[in-house]
Amino acid sequence: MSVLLATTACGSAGADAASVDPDRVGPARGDITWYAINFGPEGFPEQLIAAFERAHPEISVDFQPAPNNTDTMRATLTTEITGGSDSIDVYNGDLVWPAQFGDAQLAMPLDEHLPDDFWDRYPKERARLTEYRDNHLAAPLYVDAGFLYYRKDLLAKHDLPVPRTWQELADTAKRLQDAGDVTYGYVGQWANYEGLTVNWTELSAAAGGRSVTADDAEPAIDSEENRAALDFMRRLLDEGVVPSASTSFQEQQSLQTFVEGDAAFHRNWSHGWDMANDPLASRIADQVGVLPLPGFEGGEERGPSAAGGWNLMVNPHSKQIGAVLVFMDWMTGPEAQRMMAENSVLPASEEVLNDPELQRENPVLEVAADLDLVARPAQTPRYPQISHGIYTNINGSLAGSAPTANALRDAAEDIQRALEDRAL
Amino acid sequence: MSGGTARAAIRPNKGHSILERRFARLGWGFATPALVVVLAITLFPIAFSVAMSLSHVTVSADGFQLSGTTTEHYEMLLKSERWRHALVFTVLYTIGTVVAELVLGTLIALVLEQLSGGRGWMMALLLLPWAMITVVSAQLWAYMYNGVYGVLTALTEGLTGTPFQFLGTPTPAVLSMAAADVWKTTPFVAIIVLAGLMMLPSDVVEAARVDGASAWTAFWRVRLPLLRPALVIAVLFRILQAFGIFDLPFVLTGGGPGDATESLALLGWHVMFTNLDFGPGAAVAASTAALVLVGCLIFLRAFRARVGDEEAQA
Repeated sequence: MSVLLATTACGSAGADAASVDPDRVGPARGDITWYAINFGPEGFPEQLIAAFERAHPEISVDFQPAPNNTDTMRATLTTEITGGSDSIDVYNGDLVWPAQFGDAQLAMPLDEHLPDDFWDRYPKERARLTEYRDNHLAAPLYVDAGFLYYRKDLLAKHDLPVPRTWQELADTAKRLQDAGDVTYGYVGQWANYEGLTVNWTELSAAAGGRSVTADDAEPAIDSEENRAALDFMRRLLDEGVVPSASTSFQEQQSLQTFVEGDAAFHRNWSHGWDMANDPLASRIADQVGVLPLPGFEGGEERGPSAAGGWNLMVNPHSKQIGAVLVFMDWMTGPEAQRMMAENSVLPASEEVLNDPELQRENPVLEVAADLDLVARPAQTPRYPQISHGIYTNINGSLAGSAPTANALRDAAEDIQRALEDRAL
Repeated sequence: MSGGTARAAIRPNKGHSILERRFARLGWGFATPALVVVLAITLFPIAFSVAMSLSHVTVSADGFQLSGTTTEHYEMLLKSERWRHALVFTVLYTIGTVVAELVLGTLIALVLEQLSGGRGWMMALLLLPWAMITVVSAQLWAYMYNGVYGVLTALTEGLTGTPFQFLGTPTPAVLSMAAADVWKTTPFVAIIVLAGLMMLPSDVVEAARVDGASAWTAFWRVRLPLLRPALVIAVLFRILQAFGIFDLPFVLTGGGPGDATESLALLGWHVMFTNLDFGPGAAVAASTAALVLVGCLIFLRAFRARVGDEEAQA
């Protein structure tokens, strides 16, 4: 407890905003520190840095790996930045952070520092997700989305088509289970955490629902469409299509079940592809196909994928903003983005994402370029409480503690409280 | 400081000599830097948190700004079902695990006391769980409880035909977490109780046996009451730790399923560092500290008095 008490005491009073005068950004040279969770293959951030330093020998970058947990990383950044530290100059920030970080002034607004056409390198809706109060708080570094991985060997063996809807997926999965080819039909991320909000947002959107109204003003989760979506999830559990342990599954547990060959279908981010096809880690290497997520019966034939990925954000206390801006421009530019695409990291750059040659080499990239994306309701600084209202109630209902209707009503109340800033 | 008064009390000459006063001043002088550090890293942060929990807080790049006085953060807690749930969970969890650890720890200590050889080995073995960092042991338990590949899940499947979900539903998740906690902290209680047992005067028990008391009566009526000081210390330490439990649910369950295993400390962390709501977060921290302090004082009052009685009788 005393640790918790002690950590609240860092930082001191002051009154300035996080914006920095463009005249006072410092020279475009010197040493900068980049704080990020490792991404891509082993040593990939260092490779990017080496290429950057070749192009800009006047700037030297020190990579500081962050703990592989978004919440822990956010806690570190909050303590550092509200404490006035300049030890981190630029950091990777989660897709859902801009509103919250903008509100708490943990990231420097970028529009005064970057030309308007800087944002043309991104798909429009992707750049929009980095805005808070009409100012860009972050520059997309790499993107991610939900994909459906499936056992193409098993579908071929039984001469089954790839499922177009979630209901077809459940039927196909059941047949493969009954034939004894797999223990489970489908595995996703249904544990009590942010990942469930992601999985829920995808299924709900496929069924035509949403959790918060488009203007972020009201909860919209207690709807007919969402009841159908949650009923469907509960039915998958009841019928044994998903393992009963699903309510404690995060990315790692679900991916493990899939690569052990115990599940026919699997939803995961893009890194699932490499892992499933790595003969050292997977029993099903080269037997895996990748698709967009399915649609919902009676709706579109293809479901939307939740947008994910990471942005670059700037510490307003950095003394090296000039150099950071050069780094930001290069990392989101063609050379770095191409390196990412070649290393199974999905590029944020529209041009690189749509490069037909790169798509031929990487099937995930090909699927990614053509996805319908759905955003989590993260345009408000209250997003963590909203997400908590979603995932605890959905998870509780899946674990059997509340029927569908009650769970969605409770979730709506929790979201309402969050939007009114009355939620813990 | 109580040591100083005790020494003074047994000294025949009650007045302090000039030399003693000079030594005392010198002592305080030497202790000052350490006291300043203690003040800076313990008292200041606690005071700051309490102030924060009672103020309007705005976070900015330049740190926290506290303005005005308000009780709204505490009102928010009282109205929040999430906080009430965390409170009930934390209190019940503390009582449950501490009672289980006390009973098991005492039993283990009694067995260890009877051992003539190999006690050192047994103690070393017993202390392994206690010595292991909770984050690591929680990860190990997570592997064992894993709903598909966990060894315990496989065991239940072998016994009953269906795999039992340890962490998937609320009640089993709470019990599974408590089991991991009892496994880890029982040795701590056992060691303290064993130390207490070794210090007991053997003649009292012998006298009781000579007077015809059975082994059970001798334990229940003579040894256990004499053990009370050791038990009080063990329980006090455990209450303080169990009430502030953070690392075990953080790694093992993330507070889930739902909010079933969310302790007050975990809730405080979430409010503060996930939601970046520093006022309410500080209120969670401060109220938790106050609650455990009051709990410990009540406990001490109830038991210390009786400890004192026994010492007077002895």
